[in-house]
Amino acid sequence: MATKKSSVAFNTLERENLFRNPPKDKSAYPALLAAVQPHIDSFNAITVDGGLLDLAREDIGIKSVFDGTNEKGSLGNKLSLRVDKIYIGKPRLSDHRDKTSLRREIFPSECRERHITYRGKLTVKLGLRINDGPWISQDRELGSIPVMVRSNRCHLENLAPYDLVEHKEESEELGGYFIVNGIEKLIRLLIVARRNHPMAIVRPSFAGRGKSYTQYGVQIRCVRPDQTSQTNVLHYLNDGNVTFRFSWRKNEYLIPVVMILKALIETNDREIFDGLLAAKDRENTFLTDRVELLLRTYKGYQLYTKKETLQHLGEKFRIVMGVASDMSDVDVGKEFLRKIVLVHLQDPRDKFRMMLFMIRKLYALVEGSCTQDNPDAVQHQEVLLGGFLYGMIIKERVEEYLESIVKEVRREVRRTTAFDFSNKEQRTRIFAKVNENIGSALEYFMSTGNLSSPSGLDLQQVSGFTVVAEKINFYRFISHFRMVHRGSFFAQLKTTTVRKLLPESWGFLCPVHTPDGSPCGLLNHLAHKCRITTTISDTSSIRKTLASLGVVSPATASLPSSATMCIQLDGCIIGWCSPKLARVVADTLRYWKVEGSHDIPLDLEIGYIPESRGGQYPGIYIFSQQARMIRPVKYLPLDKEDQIGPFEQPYMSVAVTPPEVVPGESTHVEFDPTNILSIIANMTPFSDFNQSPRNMYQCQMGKQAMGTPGTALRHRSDNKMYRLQTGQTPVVRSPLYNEYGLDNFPNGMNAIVAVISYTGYDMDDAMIMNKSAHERGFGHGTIYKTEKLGWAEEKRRGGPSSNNLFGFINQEEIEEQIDSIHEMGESTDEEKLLKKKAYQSLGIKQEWLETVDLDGLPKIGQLVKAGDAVAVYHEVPKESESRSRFPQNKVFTYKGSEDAYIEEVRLLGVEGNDNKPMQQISVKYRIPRSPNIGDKFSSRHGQKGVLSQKWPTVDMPFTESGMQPDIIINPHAFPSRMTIGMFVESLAGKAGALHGMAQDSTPFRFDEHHTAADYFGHQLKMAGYNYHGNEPMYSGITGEELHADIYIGLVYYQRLRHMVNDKYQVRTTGKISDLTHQPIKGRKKGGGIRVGEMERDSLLAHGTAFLLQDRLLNCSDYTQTWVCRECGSFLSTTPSIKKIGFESQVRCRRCAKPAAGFKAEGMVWEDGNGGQFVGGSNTTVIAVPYVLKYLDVELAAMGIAMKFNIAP
Amino acid sequence: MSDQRESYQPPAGGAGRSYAGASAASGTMHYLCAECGVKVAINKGEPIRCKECGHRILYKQRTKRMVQFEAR
Amino acid sequence: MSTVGTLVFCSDCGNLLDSVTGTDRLECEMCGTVTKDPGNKTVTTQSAPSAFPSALRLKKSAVQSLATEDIQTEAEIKQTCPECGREKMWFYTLQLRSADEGATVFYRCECGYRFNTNN
Repeated sequence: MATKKSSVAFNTLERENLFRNPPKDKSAYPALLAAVQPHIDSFNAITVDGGLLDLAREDIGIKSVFDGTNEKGSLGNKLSLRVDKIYIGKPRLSDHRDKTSLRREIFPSECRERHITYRGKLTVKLGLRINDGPWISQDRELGSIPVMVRSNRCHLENLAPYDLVEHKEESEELGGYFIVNGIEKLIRLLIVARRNHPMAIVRPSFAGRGKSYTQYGVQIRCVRPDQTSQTNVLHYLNDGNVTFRFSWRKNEYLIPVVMILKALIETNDREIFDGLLAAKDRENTFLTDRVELLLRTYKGYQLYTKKETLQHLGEKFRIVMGVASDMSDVDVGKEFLRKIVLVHLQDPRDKFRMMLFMIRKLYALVEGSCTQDNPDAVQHQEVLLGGFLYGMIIKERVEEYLESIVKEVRREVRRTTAFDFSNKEQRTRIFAKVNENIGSALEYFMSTGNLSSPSGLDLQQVSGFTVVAEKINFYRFISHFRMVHRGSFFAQLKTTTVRKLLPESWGFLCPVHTPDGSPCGLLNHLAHKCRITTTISDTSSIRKTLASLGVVSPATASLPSSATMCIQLDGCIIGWCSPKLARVVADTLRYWKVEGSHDIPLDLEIGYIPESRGGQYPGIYIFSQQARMIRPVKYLPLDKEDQIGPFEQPYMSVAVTPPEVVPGESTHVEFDPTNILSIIANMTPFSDFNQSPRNMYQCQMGKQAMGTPGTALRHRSDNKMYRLQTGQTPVVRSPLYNEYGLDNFPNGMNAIVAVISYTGYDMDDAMIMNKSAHERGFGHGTIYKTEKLGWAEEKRRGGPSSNNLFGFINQEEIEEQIDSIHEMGESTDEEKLLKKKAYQSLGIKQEWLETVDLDGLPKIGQLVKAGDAVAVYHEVPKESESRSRFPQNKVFTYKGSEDAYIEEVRLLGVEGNDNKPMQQISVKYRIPRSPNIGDKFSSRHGQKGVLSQKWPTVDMPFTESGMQPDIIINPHAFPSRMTIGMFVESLAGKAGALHGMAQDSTPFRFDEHHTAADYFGHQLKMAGYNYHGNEPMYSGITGEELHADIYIGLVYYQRLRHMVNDKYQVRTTGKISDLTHQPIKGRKKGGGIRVGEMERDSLLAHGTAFLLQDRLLNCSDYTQTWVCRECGSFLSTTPSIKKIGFESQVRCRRCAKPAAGFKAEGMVWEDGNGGQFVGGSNTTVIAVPYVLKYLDVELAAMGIAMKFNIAP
Repeated sequence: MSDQRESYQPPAGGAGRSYAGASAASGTMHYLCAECGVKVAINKGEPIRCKECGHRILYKQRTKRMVQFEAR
Repeated sequence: MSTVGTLVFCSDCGNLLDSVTGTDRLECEMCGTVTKDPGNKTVTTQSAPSAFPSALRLKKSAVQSLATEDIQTEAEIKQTCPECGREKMWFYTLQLRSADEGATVFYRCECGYRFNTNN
C-alpha cells in the first residue's frame, strides 16, 4: 500500500543526484520492479530448491527398459532411469573451450553486443539402476538454455543501480526478458482457464461429438504442483449418461464416468447414489431418473470391484501411457488415475468427491437450476506465466530425453542381443547416440515462439508464445511486461464475444489500453496495481479454522440435510455447510484474513457464491495457488488493505470513492479510482475529459513515440533504435509519472499550441510547425542502425574453406605509398590516368580511403553515403597461389539509401577460439532525422497529424507579449473527436509554465461543482492572462489584430516514428517480375505502387480511359508479340530459320503443312527442329499485355485453347 | 592580448589529409577494451582479446581526422 | 434391501438391482443376496414451471421482455427541421465510418424527413 504518495513536482535536483550518484543499496523506483515481478518471480520459481523443476522430475518418475525379448516369458534384466536433479547454471565461459580468462562470467551486455544468447548450462543428474541394485548417478550436460535477465540465474540479480551501471546496464534495468541471438525476447503472459475449478459450459460444438451428445459439459483444468495441466471434461448425453473426456498426447479419449468412480475407491452403487443426491434431491425425479440410468448403463460392463475396474482400465491404456512392461494391469490403471484424472489432488477419496461434485453440477446445469459459467469473464480466468511455461517445456524435454534413451537401448537390444547393462562403455555408447541438446530446442522456442511438444501442453496454440521486447521507447518496453494475450486461437474466431470488455475486469485489466485493429480486445494490459501471485500461500490452518466455525468435514458418513453448500480449497472439497452459515463463514474468513489472525494468508481468494434461482452454482471456493490476479482494496471494517481476486469480486460490494460508501452494504472501497488503469493509460492527462476511443489511441501512440529508449545506448547493438535529442519533461503530468521514474526516459516536447484556422495547410489532421522552432531543435531525432559485417563460422565439409580477414592485403605497401599517390596532380588527363593506375596497382579505389581506415575498418564519425565502402577485407592467399596479379581487396558497402555517420565500431572476438582472428565487426550508423514535411506528430490525446508545412516565424500569428506558437492545429480536429482533455491540458500547461510548477493531471479529480476550467482559469488569472485561456493575437502577415481571441496554451507533443523518409516510394521503370513482366512489389526492391480495382473505378469515373490504358498496359507489361491471323493463337507462331538470301520470318505451325515434294525455294521454311513446312505465313504482330500470354499458356496446360480474332 | 586577435589557423598538417595517422610507422591500431577500457594494440590477423582482462569486445576509437557537420 | 424412489439397492453390497425380472425375487450379481421385490411404486414428476411457456400468460405477467427494436433509444435535440420547420428532432448515432472518424448522426423529424451528417 502506498502510504507515501508521490507528488507531481519536477524533483530536478533529486533526479540529478540519482544520475550522478546511483544508489548503492536499492533502486529508487520500486514501482518499476513491481511491474516486472510476475515474469521474474515465475522464472525464479523454476530454479529454486524444491521449485518447479524439482517437482517436475518427481512427476516424471522412473522409466524402465528390459534387455530380454520376452520370448520365453522373461523380460530379462531391467534398467531403470530417473532424474535426480536438474541444474541450471549461471552463464559462464565453458571450461574446456577457454582456459585462460580470469573473469569467467558472461554478462548480458556482452551478449547484446556480440549478438549471442544469454544462456546457462543445463545439467541433469541421472540415476541408473540395474534390476534392484543400488542407484548409480551420472551427470550429463544437456546443452545451454536461455536464462532470464535479473532472475536468480543471472549475474545481475539483486544488484544495486550503482553496480548495474558498472556492468554497462541501465541503472533501472528491469530484467524479465531473455537475450536470444542478441535480441531481447520475452514470453508473453497468456490467459487460460482458472485452475482446479469446475466450470459449467454450454457449447454447441459439444453436441457434434457423437450421437447423443448434448451441448452441456463441465470442464475443469487441473494443474499439478509442477504447473503442467490436464483438462478433464464431463459430457452430458441425451439419455442422462455422463462421459469423461480427456486428451493425452494430442488424442482424445472418452470413458464412462462411473468407471472412473469405481476405479478411484472401493465403492458401490448406493454410495454413488447417496453422493450424487442430497436428501431434498430424492424427490426430484429429473435427477433420480438420470442417476438410475447412469448406474444401470454401467452394469453392462460387469466390473464390480475397484480391482476389476483398474485392471480393465490398465489393460486398455497400457500402450497409451507408455509404462514399463513389467507393470501389472492394476498398476497401470493406478498410474492412469494418477496422471490423468483430477491431477491436482493426490488422495483418491478427494478425487472421488470432486468427481461427484462435478456430476452434480452438470445435472444442475442441464436441469436449469444453475447457469453456465462464462469462460470469457475474468472471474474464470488466470494468467499463464512465462517462467512456468518455460519450466513445463524443460520438463517435457527431459522426459523426452529419458524416453529416447529407453528407445535407443531397445533398439540396441534388438540389434545385438548381447547388451550388458552393467558395462559402462556400452552405456556411454548409448548416451552418445541420444540427442542431448535440449538447450538448442529451448533456444529455438525462444527465438521463434513455436512450441513443438508431443502433448501440446494443454494449450490451444502452437506458436506466438514469445515476442521481441522492442525498445522503441520506454513505454513500449514496459507495456510488453504488462500485456496479457487471450491466445492466438481466439484471433481466428469470428465471434466477437471474446473481445468484449466485461464489467468483471474492473481493476484487473485496463479498460482503455488495448490496440485497435485485429488484436482489439484480445491483447489486454494489466491494471497497474494488479499483481499476479507466483507462490503458493500457506493454507495448513484453513481446515482447522473452518471446523471451528461449524463446517462439516466431508469425511463424516452422512452429512446433515442442511449442509448443502460446498466449500472447496483449490479444487478439493474440504467441507459442507448450510447456506446461512456459508455467508457467515465467508465474512469471518475475510475478517481474519485481513486482520492477520488464525494464520490465514492475505492473498487467499475467498469466492463466496450465494444461492440463487438459476444463477451460478453456489459454494465457497477458496484459491491459494499461483497465477492468480489480485489487487489491493481497502477493507472497511478494519480499515486495512485487503487483496481481492477476480473470482470473488462480482459478489462483493466495492465502493469507488469514500463518499460513495453505502453503510451496511459496502464492504470495501478502492484506494484510488485510477487503480483500474494500466501504466500507460495513467499517463494520459485528463483522460476523463476525453472520448474513450481517443484514450485508446493514445495508449497505442505513446508506444510509438520517438523518445529515449534507454540510458545505456552506447553498450547496445539493437537493429534499429530511435532517439529524441531534445526530450523534455511534460509540464502536465500525473504523480505516477514520478513514481515510475519516467523522467529518465523523456518521450516528447512541450509546445506552444494555438488552435486557429490560419494557414489552410492544416486540413484533415495535418499540423503546422514554426520554422524557427524546428531550427532550434524541436523534435530533432536520430536513428541508430546496427549492422553486423563479417563471416559467420560455417564448417563446410569437403568444400574449400574461405579464409577471410579484415584489412588490406597489402597494408604496409599502402601506408608507404598512399601519401605520395594522393599528392599526385590531377590537372591533365594524363595525370589523372596515371593516378588511377597507381591506385589500381595498390588494389584499392581512391574513394575507399575516405571512409575506411588503414586497418580496413570504418572511420568513426565519418559520413557515408549509399554505395560507400565501409570495411575492407581480403582472402588470405594459400601457399600455392602466387601473388602475381594485383592485390585483391574486397569491400563491404553501405547498403542504406540515406546518408549516415559511423557512430561505433565494435570488434567481436570469438569465445574460446584463441587462434582465430577477427571474423565479425558490428558497425552502428547514426542517421539524423530532423522533422520533415510528412513526419507524424501527435499530442497525448489521440490527435495525430502529419507535419504539413514549416511556417516561417515572421508569418506566424503573435500574441501581445510577442510569442508565436510552435504548432498550429486546426480547430476542426476537436468537435467530432471530443478530446476536451487536450483543451484542459492546454490551460494547465500554460498556467504551469507561467507559475513554474508542474500540474497534476490525474483523472477523476474534478467534477461539476469543482471544474477544471475554474481551477486552471484562476491560476491563469493570477498570472495576468485571460481566465479562459484565450489571447488576442495579431496576424503575422497583415499585422492586424485578429477578430477573435485565440485559444493558445502549452501541450506536450510526441514525435512518432512514422517518417516520410521510411515510406516514400518512387519508380519510373525498374525491376520486373519474371512471370508476368509486371513491376514488382516492395519499396526496398524499387517496386511500383499498385493501381488496384478501386483506383481503376475512379479513373473510369473521371472518364480518363487513356490514362487507365497507360497505367495498366503501356507502363506495365506492354509487349508486342506474333499471332497467327488464321488460327488466332499465340502459341503456334515460331520464327523460321534464316537461309541465305531470306530473312527469318515468323510462321504459324498449325496453319503450315509439312513440306512434301516440290522445292520452291521461297515457299519452304524450316523450324528449329529441322522439320520443313510450307505455308502458315498469315502472321502479324500485335500489342498485348504480357499476362495475356501467361494466361494463354496456363489455360493451354489445362487443355483449353484461346482463339483470338484479329481485325483488320 | 594581441595574439588573440590573429585569425584562426586550422591545425597544421590537415591540408592534404594524411592517411597514415598515429599508426604510420607501426601499422597497428589501438582499440579500447569494452570491459576495462584499456588501450589494446591489435595487428591485422591477431585474435581479438584484451591484454589485461581477456574480454572479447573491443571498441574502435574515433578518427583523428576532422569531420565537418552542418549546423542544421 | 434399501429403496429410494424406484431404485432398489442390495442391502449387503449396495449394488443396484435390476428393476424388472418378471419374478418376485431380485438377485444381486455381486454378492448373490436375494431381495424381495417391493412392488410397484408411484412416482410423481413435476415439470419445471418454465418448461411449457404460454404466450398469453406471458403477455399478462408482470415481467415482460422487449426486443431490441421496440425500445425507443433516440434522443431529442433542439434542431430545426429543414422541411417542415418543427423545432425538435430525434437523432441517433452509428459508428459507420472508421473508428478514427466520428460517428454519423441520423436526424429524424416527426414529419418523416430524415437527414444525416458526418463529423
